[in-house]
Amino acid sequence: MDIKIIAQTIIYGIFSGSIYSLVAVGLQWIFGITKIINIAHGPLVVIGSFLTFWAFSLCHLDPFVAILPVTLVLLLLGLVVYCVIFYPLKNLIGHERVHLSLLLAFGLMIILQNGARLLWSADERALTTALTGASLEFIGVRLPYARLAGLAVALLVIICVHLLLTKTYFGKSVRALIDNPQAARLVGVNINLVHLFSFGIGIALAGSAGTLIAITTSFSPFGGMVWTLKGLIVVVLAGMGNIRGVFLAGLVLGVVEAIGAIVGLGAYREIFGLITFVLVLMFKPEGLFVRGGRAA
Amino acid sequence: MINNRKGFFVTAIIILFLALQPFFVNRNDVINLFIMIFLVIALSSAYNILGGYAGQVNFGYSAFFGIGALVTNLLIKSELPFLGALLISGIAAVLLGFIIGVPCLRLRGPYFAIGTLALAEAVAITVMRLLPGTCYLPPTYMASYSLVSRYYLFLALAAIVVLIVYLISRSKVGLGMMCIRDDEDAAASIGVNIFRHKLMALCISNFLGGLAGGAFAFYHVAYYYDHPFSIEWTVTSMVSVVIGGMGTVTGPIIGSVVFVGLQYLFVHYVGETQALLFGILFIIVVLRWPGGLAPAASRIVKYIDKLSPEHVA
Amino acid sequence: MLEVIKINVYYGDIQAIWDISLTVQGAEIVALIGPNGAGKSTTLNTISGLLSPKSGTIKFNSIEVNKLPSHKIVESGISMVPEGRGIFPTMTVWENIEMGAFLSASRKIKHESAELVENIFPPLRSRRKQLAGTLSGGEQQMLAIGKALMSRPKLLLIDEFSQGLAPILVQSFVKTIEQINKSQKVSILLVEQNVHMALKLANQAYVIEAGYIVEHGGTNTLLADEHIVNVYLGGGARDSGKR
Repeated sequence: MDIKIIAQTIIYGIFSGSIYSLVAVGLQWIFGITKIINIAHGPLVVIGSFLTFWAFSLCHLDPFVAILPVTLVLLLLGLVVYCVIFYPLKNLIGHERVHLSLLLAFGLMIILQNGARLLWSADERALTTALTGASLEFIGVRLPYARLAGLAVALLVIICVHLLLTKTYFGKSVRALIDNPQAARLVGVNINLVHLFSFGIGIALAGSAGTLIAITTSFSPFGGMVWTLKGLIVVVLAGMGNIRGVFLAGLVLGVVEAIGAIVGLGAYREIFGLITFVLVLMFKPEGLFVRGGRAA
Repeated sequence: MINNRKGFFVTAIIILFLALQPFFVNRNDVINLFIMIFLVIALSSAYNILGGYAGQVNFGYSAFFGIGALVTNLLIKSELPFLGALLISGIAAVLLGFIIGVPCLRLRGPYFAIGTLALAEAVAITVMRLLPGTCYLPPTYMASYSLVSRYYLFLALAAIVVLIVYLISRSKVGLGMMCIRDDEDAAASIGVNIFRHKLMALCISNFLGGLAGGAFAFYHVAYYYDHPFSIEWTVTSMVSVVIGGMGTVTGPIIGSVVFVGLQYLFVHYVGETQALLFGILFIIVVLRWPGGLAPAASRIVKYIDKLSPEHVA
Repeated sequence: MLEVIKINVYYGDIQAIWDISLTVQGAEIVALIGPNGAGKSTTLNTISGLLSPKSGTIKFNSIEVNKLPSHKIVESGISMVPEGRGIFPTMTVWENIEMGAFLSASRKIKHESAELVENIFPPLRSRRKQLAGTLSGGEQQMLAIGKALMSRPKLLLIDEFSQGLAPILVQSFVKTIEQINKSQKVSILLVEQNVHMALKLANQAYVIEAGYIVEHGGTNTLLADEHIVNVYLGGGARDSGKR
């Protein structure tokens, strides 16, 4: 096989992988802290895409600039959603918590999908910006500018997340809470507050992923579930609760899928991803990129 | 809950009442509504075995409903008698359970939910790619189609599933499942064989779900092959069980009636915004009655009981 | 300083401790001893706010704390080293120490506090960048206690620190705890299964059995008490003096 085709494939895998990472990082943050499996995450990403669309068509804002207000709006939305819908669950544990949080997330999904349909119609959309269409040629490989910018933005967001987690006390309280909830309470971490803001941040990250998706590919009101599944796969590959492993895990998924496509699996490449996902879940539930030991 | 003798009488009367309905009701849409309710009762009661009694959240449940429908359809197209096909599809669902459910059984809590979701989605996508068209009832069946006989089929199915759930809830096996649900480690330490109980719950749940799928294939004249594999069926079962009352026999029944009834009302009377409003109502109901309506209902029944003459001192 | 007055604590519908009362005076070391499952950890967890008593009061420096959430209790000056150490395994030693000073008041002086802690437990100084989960048992225990000291508590609750530690190490911790109590003027409430060690370390002790306090007194008296000697100290005539 032509080396250029392989290189092209891998590059495209990295491009789509970076989007997967951004979708997954919010989901991972929420799950790691609150143990809520936010199956409405995909639809929230789509809302981010549609808000970007509005910013673009109504306010003539360049999508790359729009990412900031969209992220902020979704942060607020996340905080509200948590207070109204998920906060009542805080004292539940076990299968009750899993059942109820799944159902509530599903209800949220219905509201978001149909709300989006009412506001923007069921059509599939994509945004064309100044960068669309043009690409850079680099040693025989095509690098579309829009995709490159998308990758750069995704990297930037992930770096911000990393800095938030390692350099701020809030970020450290998040990591502490994931590591050992009891010990976190004993050093003075306010669990309810961390849950609330983690949820908000998780949704804000979904929003930023939505903006990138609007720029690089297409979106529609009912296309959210696909992103949720991709997000879940990346979450598992990274290791449940491992927020910082998500970037690499997303790239892995992207590249694996891209390779699967050219190797001939074509339409079945999603299944390939799904089965890998379950295998990892079963044999290495800590994930592929886990660090650290355990308490002796 | 209601004491046993009264319970039996009430159940017998209700079943008799329902069995006589086709003689008095002429409208097909009402009969179809009943059928839908019976189907959801059967499906959600079967889900309840693994979800409500054993406490494992099988978020890929629709795969088993779907395989039941698929196998029945393929078999009756190959001239197999319907009841035989139905049984085989139940077994097929159990076999599918071994392939995708059992590996996930080593996962706990939300991880089991995620694992089963992914595998079920994989199955759904495979079916969608391999069989993208419409699934039709074979011509011989269409020619001799009788809505009333299907009414009785679904009534019988619902009654059988509820009976099985009732028997499990009163058995030692059911007790073991409930122990696992309440505290898996504690159950293990008193000698409950965790894997065996979870496996049994999974198999029974899947078998009955497969039967429901087979009945579905017998009833619907045309649908997309991957429709019964859709996550909506999992959610329908889950919602009915949760709002009715998890781990109770009557819970799924109440929940199914409420859920299907509400959907019917919304679709017919609300119009464009129906799905959106339904979602909002859904969330309100789940938050307001997280324990389910059945426990609330039984409190009302106990209260009425207390008001009766023998109790007034 | 700490007054626990007749607390009753339940796990769901099951009662674990009945009318437990105890006091810890300033600069004292008090031991809470008893068999497994007697309710020692439950008591400590209730004082630190992880659990809530159904009835009864807990006063710390005359302020009622039993209704406060755990983060507020840490603010009031009580810090706990839980059973199992309570460290953050995927975070570094330094990050663990930092988290000990999570409260805003402690953050400002965290470098001085860290200096203090590393003087008490020198091995931590050279392991700042190491992941806490890869430390040995003894080092993790040092980290756990050091972390708890970062919030400059007036009262330190320690739950079974000797668990899993070699006897030589336990002795070294005993000396360190005495030092912390004397030099930092920190009161200590200690839950221990190693009764002999606990009674030698503490000034006062409470004995809890099946959820009730059955004995209380100065450790000298208790070391000579027949019941204690028979049930907890192997029945033999050991040296019953302090140090």
